[in-house]
Amino acid sequence: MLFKEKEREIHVMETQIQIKGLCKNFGKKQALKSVDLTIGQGMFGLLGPNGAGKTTLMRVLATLLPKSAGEVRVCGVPVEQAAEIRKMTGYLPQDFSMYGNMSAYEALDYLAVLSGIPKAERRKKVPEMLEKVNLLDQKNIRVKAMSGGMKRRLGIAQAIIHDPRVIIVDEPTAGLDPEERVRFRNLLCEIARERIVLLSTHIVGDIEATCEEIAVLNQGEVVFRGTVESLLKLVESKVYSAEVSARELDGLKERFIVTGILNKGSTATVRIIAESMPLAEAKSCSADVEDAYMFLMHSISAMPVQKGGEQA
Amino acid sequence: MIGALFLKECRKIAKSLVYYVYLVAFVLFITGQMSDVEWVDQLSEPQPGQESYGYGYSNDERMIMQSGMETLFQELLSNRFATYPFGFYKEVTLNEEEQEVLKRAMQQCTGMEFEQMAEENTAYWMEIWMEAEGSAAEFSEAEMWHVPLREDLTYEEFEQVMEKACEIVGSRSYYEKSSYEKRGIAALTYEDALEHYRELCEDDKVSGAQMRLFCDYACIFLAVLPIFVGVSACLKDKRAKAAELIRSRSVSGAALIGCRYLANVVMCFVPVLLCALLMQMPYVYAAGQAGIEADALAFVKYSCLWLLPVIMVVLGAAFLLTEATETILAIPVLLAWAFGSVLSAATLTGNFGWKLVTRWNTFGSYGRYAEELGQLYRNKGMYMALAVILVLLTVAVYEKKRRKGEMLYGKLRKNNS
Ligand SMILES: Nc1ncnc2c1ncn2[C@@H]1O[C@H](COP(=O)(O)OP(=O)(O)OP(=O)(O)O)[C@@H](O)[C@H]1O
Ligand SMILES: [Mg+2]
Repeated sequence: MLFKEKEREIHVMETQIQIKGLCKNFGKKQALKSVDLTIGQGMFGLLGPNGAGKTTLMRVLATLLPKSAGEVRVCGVPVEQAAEIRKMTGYLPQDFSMYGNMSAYEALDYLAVLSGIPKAERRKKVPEMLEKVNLLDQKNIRVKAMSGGMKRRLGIAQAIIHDPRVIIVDEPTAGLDPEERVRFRNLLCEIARERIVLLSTHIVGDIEATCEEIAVLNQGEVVFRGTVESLLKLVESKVYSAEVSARELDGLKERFIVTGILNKGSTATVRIIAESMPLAEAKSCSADVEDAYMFLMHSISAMPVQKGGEQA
Repeated sequence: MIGALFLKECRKIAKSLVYYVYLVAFVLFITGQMSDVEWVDQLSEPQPGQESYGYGYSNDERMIMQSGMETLFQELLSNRFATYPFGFYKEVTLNEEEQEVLKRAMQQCTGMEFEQMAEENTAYWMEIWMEAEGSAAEFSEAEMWHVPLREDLTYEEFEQVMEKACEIVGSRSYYEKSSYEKRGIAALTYEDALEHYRELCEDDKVSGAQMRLFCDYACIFLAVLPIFVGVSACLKDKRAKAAELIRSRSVSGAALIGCRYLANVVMCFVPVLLCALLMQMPYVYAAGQAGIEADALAFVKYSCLWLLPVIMVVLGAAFLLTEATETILAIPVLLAWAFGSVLSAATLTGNFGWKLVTRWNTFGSYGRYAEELGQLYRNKGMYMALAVILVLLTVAVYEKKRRKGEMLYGKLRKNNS
C-alpha cells in the first residue's frame, strides 16, 4: 500500500513530456531536426505548415515510429519502453479509420479491449464516451456509413476511453462542424485538467480558445515555443487595417503581409501586418493568433539562416 | 481480457464474407464427394456360398496381368487413353501406326487376333445388355471384358508390353509400373470378405472407416480453403487503414496475434467438426440397425488427428507470410504447396510420409491403416509443432513492425500528409 502511494506521487510529479535533440530521418529526408521541447500538464498546441513534421513528432511520441536520435521521455518513461508508453497514451491518428462493418459501439468496444479494459468497465465506459462525443444516438451506425466528422468524433472517443495520462490528437477538429468543434474543445479542456493533451491543428481558432502553450514547427524545427500571449506580442502594434481601391491591392500584397481582404464594390478593406504604419489612412488594430502565425512564418522565410530566432 | 479479445476476433471472422465463402465451399465440396460412397452392403456379414464377395486389389501376378491386359484392350478399343500429367486428366488418342503396334503386342500375349476379341466382346455385351434391359445392377455383376491370356505368358513378357504401351501413350498413364502393379483386380474370397467385415465392425466400428474417408476428402479442401480466411484476417487492419491505430494500443503482440490465430483456427475447425458429425450420423444409425456397435466419437478423433493440424499449419503459414509481406503472397505460395502435396501422392491410400495432404481414399482397410498409423502420428505432430513455430514467428514479425513503424521489407510506408 505504501509502495503504491509512493509510486503515484512520482507519477504526479512527472506529468510532462521531455524531448531533447530529437531527430527523425526518412531515408535522406530529415523530418525532425534536433527538436527540443518540454510539454507540461494542460493543453499544448502544435502549429506549422503542411509537412512541418507535426505528425512525425506525434507518431514518435505514440511509439509508432522509432526516433533516429535524441531523447524522449513521457512522464519520466523513456519512449523506448513502448509497452509502458502505450498504456498511458491515447492517440488519434490524422486519418482515423476503423473496420468499416463495425458499428460505432463495437468499434469502440474493440479498441477498449485492446487497451485491456475489463468487461464491467467497458459496459459503463463505452456508452459514456459515445455520449461525450455525441454519438450515443447513432451507436449502431457502421463506421463505413459515418460522415467524416462522425468518424473524427469516434476517434476522439477511442483516444480517451482508457483514461490515458497523455493524449495525443492529430488535427482532431479537422472536418468538424462549428458546433461540434466547440463541443470538442470544451471536452478536451475538461480532460486536460490533470493530463497532458498535445494537439496539432491548422485551425488557429482552436489554439486561441484552448491552448495556453504552443509550439510552431517548420521544416522539422521548432521556430516558436511559448504562450499564446508571447506569440501575440510578436505582432503587437504591427497589425493595421486600411481601405484601399482594387488597383492598389496588388502592390500592397507585394510589400506587406496581407492577412485579410474584404471586398466592398470597387474598394476593399485589407488587414496588413507591417513594422510601421503602411499607409497614411491605415488604422492600427488588435492582433490575433492568425496574424502572429503569418508574421512568424513570413519572417522565417525572409531570413532562413537565423534559426530559432524567435524562440521565446 | 484474452477471452474477450478472442470472442471479438471470432465475431469479426463471422462477419466477413470470406468466411461464408469458406463455409459454403467446404460444405458443397464435401457433400459432393461423400455422396457417392457405397457402404450399406458392407454392413451385412458375408455368408458362405455367396455368388460374389465383391472385388479387391491383389498382388497376384496373374491378376495384375489380367487387369493390365483388360485395360489395354478397352482403351485400344475406344482409342481413348487416360493420362494424368500433373494429376489432371488428359485424354490421349493414338494414330493408326501406334495402335497397330499395341494391337500386335496384345496379340502375342493372348494368342488371339485383336479384331476377333473385339467382335467377341461386342457380341457378349450386346447379349448382356439385351438380357438386363439396361439395368445397371446386372452390369456390375458381369465380368467386364473377355481377354484370354496365354497359359504360358510370363510376367516379364507382360512387363515389356506395358513398357511399350507407356512409351507410346505417355507417362502418368495406367501403364507405368507403379500404376499397374497396384491395380490387379481380383474377386474376393469368402475368407477375405469375412476378414474385411471383421475389421469394419471391430477395429473401425463402422464410423471409423467412414471418417477416414471423410478426412481424406476434407484434408484436400482444408489445405486450400483456410488460406483465404487467414490472409483476409491478417490484411483486415491494413485494408481498414486501422493498423497504426491498433498498434498504438497497449495490447501485446503475442496476445493480439495469438487471439486472432486461435479465433481463426476455431472458426475454421468447428464447421468441419459439425459436418463430420452430421455425416457420421447415418452410419451410426445404420450400424445400429445391423446390430453393430458403432463408434459415436469417431468424428472427433479423426477430425482432431487428421484435419486440425492441417488447418493449424495452413493458417499459421498464411499468418506469417501475410504479416511479413502485407500482400496476398501467401495465396499463391500456399496453393502451390497444397496442390503439390495432392499431386505428389503416388497412391491415394496411405503412404503418408511428411505430406501436408494425407490420403485414405478407401472405405475400410483398417489393417493397412494400423501399420501406417505411426507415421501418421509423426506427420501430424510435426505439422502441429510447425504451426506453433509459425505463429511465434508471426508474433515476432508483428512486434518488429511495431517497433520499426513500417513494413518489414520494402519501402517505407507512405505517409498521410
Ligand atoms: N513514412 C514517411 N516516409 C518518408 N517521408 C515521410 C514519411 N512520413 C513523413 N515524411 C515526410 O516528413 C515530413 C513531415 O511530415 P509530417 O506528416 O510530419 O508533416 P505534418 O506537419 O504532419 O503535415 P500536415 O500538416 O500536412 O499533416 C514531410 O516532408 C513528409 O514528406
Ligand atoms: Mg500531419
